[in-house]
Amino acid sequence: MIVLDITTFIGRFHPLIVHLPIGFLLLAILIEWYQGSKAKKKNNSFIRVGWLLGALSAIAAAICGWLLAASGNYPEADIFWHRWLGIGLAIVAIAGWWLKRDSSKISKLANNAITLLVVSLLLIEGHLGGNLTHGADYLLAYAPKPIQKLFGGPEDKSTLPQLESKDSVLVYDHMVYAILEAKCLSCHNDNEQRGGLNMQQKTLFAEGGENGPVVLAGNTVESELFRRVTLSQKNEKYMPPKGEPLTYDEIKILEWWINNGADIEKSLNEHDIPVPMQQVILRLYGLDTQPKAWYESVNLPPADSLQIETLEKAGFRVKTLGQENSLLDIKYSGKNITLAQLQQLSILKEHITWLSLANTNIENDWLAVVGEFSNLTRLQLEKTNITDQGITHLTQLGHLESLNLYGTNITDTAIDLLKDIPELKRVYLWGTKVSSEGASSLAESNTELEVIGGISGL
Amino acid sequence: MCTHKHNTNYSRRDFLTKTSLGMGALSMASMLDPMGLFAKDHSGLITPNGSGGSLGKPHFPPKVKRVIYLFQSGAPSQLDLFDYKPLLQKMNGQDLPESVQQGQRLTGMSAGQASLPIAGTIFDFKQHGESGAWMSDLMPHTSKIVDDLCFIKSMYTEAINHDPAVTFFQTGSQLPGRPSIGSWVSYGLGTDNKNLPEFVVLVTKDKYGQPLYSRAWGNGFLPSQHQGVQFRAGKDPVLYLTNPPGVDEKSRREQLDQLQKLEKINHEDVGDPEILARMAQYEMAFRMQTSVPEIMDTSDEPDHIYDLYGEDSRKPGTFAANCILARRLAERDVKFIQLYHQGWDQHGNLPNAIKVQCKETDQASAALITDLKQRGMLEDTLVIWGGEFGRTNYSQGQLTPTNFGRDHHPKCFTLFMAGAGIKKGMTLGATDDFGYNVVQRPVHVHDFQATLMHLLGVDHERLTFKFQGRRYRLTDVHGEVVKEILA
Repeated sequence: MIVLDITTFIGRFHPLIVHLPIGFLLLAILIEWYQGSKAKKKNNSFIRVGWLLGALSAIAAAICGWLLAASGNYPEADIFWHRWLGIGLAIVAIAGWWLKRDSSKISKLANNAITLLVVSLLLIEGHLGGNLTHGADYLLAYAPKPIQKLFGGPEDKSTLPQLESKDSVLVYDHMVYAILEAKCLSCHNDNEQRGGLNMQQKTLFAEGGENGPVVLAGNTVESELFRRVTLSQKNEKYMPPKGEPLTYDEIKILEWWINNGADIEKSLNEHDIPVPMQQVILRLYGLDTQPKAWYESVNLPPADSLQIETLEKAGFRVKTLGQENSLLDIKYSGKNITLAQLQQLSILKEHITWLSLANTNIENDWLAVVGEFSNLTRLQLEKTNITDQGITHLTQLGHLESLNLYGTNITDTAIDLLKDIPELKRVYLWGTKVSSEGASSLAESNTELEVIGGISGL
Repeated sequence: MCTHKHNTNYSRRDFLTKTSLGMGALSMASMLDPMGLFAKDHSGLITPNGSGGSLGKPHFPPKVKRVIYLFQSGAPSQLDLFDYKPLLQKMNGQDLPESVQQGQRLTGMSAGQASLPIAGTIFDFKQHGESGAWMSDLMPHTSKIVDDLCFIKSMYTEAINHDPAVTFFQTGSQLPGRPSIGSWVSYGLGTDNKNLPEFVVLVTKDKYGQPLYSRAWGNGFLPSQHQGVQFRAGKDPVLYLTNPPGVDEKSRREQLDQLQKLEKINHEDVGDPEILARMAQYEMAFRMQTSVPEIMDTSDEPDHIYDLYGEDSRKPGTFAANCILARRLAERDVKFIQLYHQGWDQHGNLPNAIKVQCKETDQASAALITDLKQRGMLEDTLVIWGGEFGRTNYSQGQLTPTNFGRDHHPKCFTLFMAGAGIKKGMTLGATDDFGYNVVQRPVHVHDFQATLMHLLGVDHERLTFKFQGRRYRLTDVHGEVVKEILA
């Protein structure tokens, strides 16, 4: 139909007029039921008038509604049912008025049926109209959680599914597909393949659309998928043509995925994630991909509290790392320790991840005990009498990251031993007998390793 | 005869709270042993291996085991130290455009000025280190260690005057009465050294300016053993700690033992938890009679350490001497060590006054970080340096080529941190070219506090204390962890 300003003007009376049939028809039905409950039947003319007014206003509402819909401000798909149910309601209301002119001429069953039909139509139609005006999630947005759950809950399209742990994440399945699903799948699925492209099936997606593959590994410029989502939004080729555009973070994920080979099988663990992408992944999927310290990735049952007590009695200060991390942080609280005391620690040797024996009289050979602590990541031996020989016991500590040897008697001989500690990241050598050449040779052997001396050298 | 006395000292609410939480299970023995006493979580259950904090264990593994907070009271001028704004130098003397200030509130001290002349810094700025951090030449020593520091240039606060701003920074509320950060840490995480308090405060002596109230290290509504204990320079580092003349250690011990018996009766009768706090404090004081003199006697520090911290460090009570003490306290696992240095409130005569302040603090602050680093203590110690707000980009009072002053400015300021759990050689956030408003990554005081607690292994939303019918926390209902700076 031709849309004129005047038709839109009239159309906009729709929200006003729709309330009239609701009021008239419901009032007429309520009076009718009230009278029906009375013993003495009486033909009330108001019921008839109510139905007539209801029918007339329903027709007016339908006409206004049609004009309003023609203005093009509402998506056709959402309007369909509201439009035809509204027209249906007007017809049923006219029929109701016609049948109820004289209550004696209509069977009770038919009378009740038409009443029930009108009430149901009013409810459904009103709800659909409300959804059009206020949005589908308006009604339940503030409903108590159980009620929201009952109705499937509001669908939150603003965030992608959040990922829990890095280990099980597949880049395509869990990250890329989540974006495609939110932004592309409505037109490229099993039922509908615009441009011949189906993104719902992995293999079909890889095949591409009418003009071949939409993704070219390692080449974002030539990848149609990437080109389309980064065009000007005014360009008619821009994707998605309707709805929310892809966000910056989503585009960054697609770019990173394509540049890294656009593999549809690889897991996140197989990729090196550059720092800027770590931030993007954190924002988009709530997933922290910063490399975790070893002590954060070990899962052990909590240490036995009696064993902890034993260690405390032996003079150790024992602390559990966290409420969900049962590894232990242990420090010897005095200066004089015996081998027997140290050996006590072996009862919890897997749990010990931070250990301080600083300032004690520990001897080289005793470190053999410490060498058994497989999850040890931080060891403090500063200001003890240990020498190079003691370090030999530490080379098998596969997860040791930080070793404090300041103020000990170690020499350049220990440098080669320190090079053998595979995961060592920081070593403190201030006040030792290590020469500055020795220290720099250690630092050069491993770019990951920071050798920390004193303010004026070692 | 029934001698049972009706106990009128419990309030109905106290009674219900305590009986329902099973606090009746508290035994006297555990009261006298602070480790035992503290090794109870809030429900009164004994935790297997806590260090005495209400949390038992940290919420998550701590990156930081102890904090040294070098609080620069009075608010240092970020525009003359860290936040380099060449535009201000170019526009020196011109009136601050209304489009910058936009009617935001000023203090009563400069709101009445006929003009607000832009005051560019008169100090030279250079980039330092691999990170290229800008520093003025007022801080030559700190400039050398910028690659170990993390600057936040986009701090902002809500208070515009000193005391509310200090109180806000230390307690999360501008109004007095809330516990300070150190008290929350002590309450939540407990002690690592039962011979010393968890929270120690050192104030530079003979500095004046804005008053510094002891409530900045107060415990608020937390049990009183969590308040900060101030160590002073001189004969009596902790007031009233030493035995009076004629009382030796043995008789002191006997006296305390008798006192405890009396207090026990008192507690059984009255049931006030503050009695427990007082008893814990008596015992702590007794142990501190040995531990404090050992800390305060720095004669065992070698000369090269004094040289590192600067000449001042040989004079007890100076900021530099306090920095050495801070390190000694940290070495003995005191959890929260707070230094206060007053005198940064330069409303006038800024160029001269700030030089004095920097001379007093620059070398020792940098030395502390260096010293901690070479001892491997930055592995689990965090150092914080900063004031309560910033200073204005316009001059308060007359602007001359060599002299100007700056008023209070809560909209933006800089602080820096170094140590465990945070990135090194990093600058977070930025201000506009006028150094007036934050334009990138604003960090509110509550965000800073949330981040600090996070580094200590505490979820700031889950460390709470119920008082006057509601649960309080350091960050009230605000604060988000600044994840960008976490290493």
